[in-house]
Amino acid sequence: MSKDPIITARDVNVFYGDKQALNGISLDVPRNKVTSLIGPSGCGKSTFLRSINRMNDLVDICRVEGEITVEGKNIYDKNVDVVALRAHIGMVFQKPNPFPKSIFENVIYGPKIHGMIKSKTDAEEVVETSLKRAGLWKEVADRLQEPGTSLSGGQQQRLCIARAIAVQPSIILMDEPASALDPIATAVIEELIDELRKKYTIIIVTHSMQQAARVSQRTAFFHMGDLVEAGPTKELFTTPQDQRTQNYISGRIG
Amino acid sequence: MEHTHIVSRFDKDVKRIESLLLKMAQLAISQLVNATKALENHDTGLSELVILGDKEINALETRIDELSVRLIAQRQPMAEDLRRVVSTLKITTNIERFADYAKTMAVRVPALASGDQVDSATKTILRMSALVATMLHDALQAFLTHDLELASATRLRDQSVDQMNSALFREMLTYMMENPRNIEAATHLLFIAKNLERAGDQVCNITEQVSFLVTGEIFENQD
Amino acid sequence: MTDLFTNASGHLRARHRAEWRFRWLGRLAIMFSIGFLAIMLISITNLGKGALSRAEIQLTVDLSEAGSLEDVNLKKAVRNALFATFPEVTDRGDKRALLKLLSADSGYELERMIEANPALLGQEPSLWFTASDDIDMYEKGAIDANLPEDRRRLKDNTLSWVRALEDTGALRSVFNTAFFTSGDSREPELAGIFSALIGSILSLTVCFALSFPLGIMAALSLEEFSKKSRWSDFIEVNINNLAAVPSIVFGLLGMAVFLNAFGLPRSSPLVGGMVLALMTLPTIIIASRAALRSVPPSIREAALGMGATRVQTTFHHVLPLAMPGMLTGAIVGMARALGETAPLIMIGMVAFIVDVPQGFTDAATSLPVQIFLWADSPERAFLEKTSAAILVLLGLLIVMNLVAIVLRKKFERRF
Repeated sequence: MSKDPIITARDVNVFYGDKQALNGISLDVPRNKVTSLIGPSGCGKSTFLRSINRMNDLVDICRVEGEITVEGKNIYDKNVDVVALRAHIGMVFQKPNPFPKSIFENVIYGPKIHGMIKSKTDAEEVVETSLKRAGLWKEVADRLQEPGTSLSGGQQQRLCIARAIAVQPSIILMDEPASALDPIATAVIEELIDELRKKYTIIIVTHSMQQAARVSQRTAFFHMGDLVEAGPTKELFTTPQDQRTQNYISGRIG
Repeated sequence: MEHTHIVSRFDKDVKRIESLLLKMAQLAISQLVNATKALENHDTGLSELVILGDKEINALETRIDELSVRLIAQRQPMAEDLRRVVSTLKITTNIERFADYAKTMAVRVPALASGDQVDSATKTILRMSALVATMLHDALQAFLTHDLELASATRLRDQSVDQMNSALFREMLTYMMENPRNIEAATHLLFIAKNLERAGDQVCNITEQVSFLVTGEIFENQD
Repeated sequence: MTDLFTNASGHLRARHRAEWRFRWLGRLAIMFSIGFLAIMLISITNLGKGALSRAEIQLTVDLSEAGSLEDVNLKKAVRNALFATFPEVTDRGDKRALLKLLSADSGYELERMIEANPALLGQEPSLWFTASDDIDMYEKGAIDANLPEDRRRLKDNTLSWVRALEDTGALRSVFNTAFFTSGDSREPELAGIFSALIGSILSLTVCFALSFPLGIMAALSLEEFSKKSRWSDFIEVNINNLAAVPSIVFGLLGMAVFLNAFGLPRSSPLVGGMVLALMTLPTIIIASRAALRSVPPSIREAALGMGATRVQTTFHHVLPLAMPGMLTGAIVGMARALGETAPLIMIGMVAFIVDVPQGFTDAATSLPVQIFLWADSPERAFLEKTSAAILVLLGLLIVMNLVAIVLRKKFERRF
């Protein structure tokens, strides 16, 4: 396993029309670790996250400058196929959004469209593995044909995670994955994240500093489009270097 | 640090703990001053008061610890606030021990009061006590104002305390060898001096907490 | 403190009164609308219910000499049967009047009856024949027997014969299946809606086949695949305007382009369907776009985030979810097309169609056009036929709208 970072961002500027949302962000994301992005609302952390799998392309007025490399390749290069990129990078959203299909079909959709399924046994294997890795198998093994939307909120989110990992990505992006869940479901997700980082690199955007402190090994603090500070989580939350970080973390803004 | 917490309760709670800490330190200092005075004047009435007064200090320690734990549970302090609470918890222990040494000094007063004064030793002890008292005052000041320089200056003064203790030790040895009847008084004085030296060490621990609070690094002892 | 929550204040009472007034205004509006609707339905039903029955006259036909159908002189046989029933009629003028008791088609009726039951040959069976429209009207009580003769539809002699038939029980009313099974006719008692119905169905089929796929594709490309720009805004405004264009304009367009420029057959369901498709297309596009917009963007994001292409996202996820709304829009559009008259008249679907159209290029008419033509006719009997046809049309529209509602409810649950 190489020690160099799996994602590097260099001098990334993102604009929505005339408004600049990110100012010259440079950040390294290490392999097989959880990196959390924290900061107040509107600071650009979600924008940065979505730049990594080019979901910002869907917004017409959004313009990305600078370089973001994944596994050494600049993803904003002209000959990069966005579809292949997104198969390599999974995404889990704030509000669980399973497809209105059965649990089985939800998980199998990604592998199917990427041509990873050759036979029915293949499909069943993929579904079982993904659901097991997402910690959902025991709860749904006997009702795979039921609609994904019939699960509870926490289960739906784990289904979305299973769906994301079914295509065997190397990176999983999570945009406030637990913010719509109750404390127990949140704890389950956090435990899951800890398990997942053995196999995947995870970047998580979160509003909760306690969650970032619990879950991540590296933390980056964003403020008004700037990357103020990035460092090991245990240091950032006990002795932050920048006064702005100190103020935000201790609740002393303004 | 001019920034106030969004939740004003938070700052109120922190201030409360700080003022209680200050009060505890002031009490400890006055305990030491009184115990020393009692020793100087062979005042057993005053020494009684000192012994009784120790209860209040213990009560304060309990109270401060309680409030600190509550702050952690309710407010989840981070970064500097977290360091402040953790170091507060450690400092209360130091001050409590300091006050304990004052109390033990007061305990020995009746025994010494019945005998003669040992002038030179008593003078040394008076000097040590005064020095240690100001050290505690300055250490607390450094803690509350985040003054690293004051903290390290205070730490340096402990050397004098150690030296005075060593000097007194040699003096007492000589005194005891001179006349076996002096042994009892000398022993008491030795113990008192030893405790004052230990009190100085407690103040040094407090200065280390100041370093932790300000820099976030745990102070490495040079010895 | 005790009157904290009681309505002591006048201000509160005024608000409650305003609420009460508003509620009652609403109820009045509803009652008004339902009232008018009821009046319309009741009056049409009253007018039209007569079309469901038909007067028939029983005659004894002498087929004893006939060995096969070719031996029978149909018209003569019927005439003789009639004269046999009223032997006292000798005057020529009276004889002609007597013949008018039966509908003009009675010869063909006899033929059909013999074909259906060849055992009648060589017998003297008593058969029922359709009466003429005047007798039919009399049976339904539409002709006032108390008026002086010169102002009456039925003359005295006819009236006496009718009464005689009544007395012998040779006059009855039966359910008029011919209304539903036969095409148009000059004679009101024989006229039916069948060919118009088939014409409507064929036109609607063409309309659906053209407008549904085109409409959905257009909506998809506008909603999912194009960037928002001044051009797309321009298109959207134009589509909305097209939906409001009077239908007769589409008829003119159809006439100019489909008939004259392309030379397609006039009066055919093909052209009729094409014109209706043009008319329905904007409605389907608008409804489809609304259905597509109602699919939450989170579904699209989820699919795209997994590396699905835009096309895959649209066809695997968005379209199935939007389909109920699209179908509903299509059915509502079809219901509107069913009731359109003006454009079809413009392209010539106004001919007198007796035969049932067999294909898309045969001459045909449609149900509303048929109603329009019948409404023009002077005979009293056509009045009830028109009303009955209107009821059939309304019934079809209600059924189509019910299907739309059921579909929508059924698919909504899956979401």
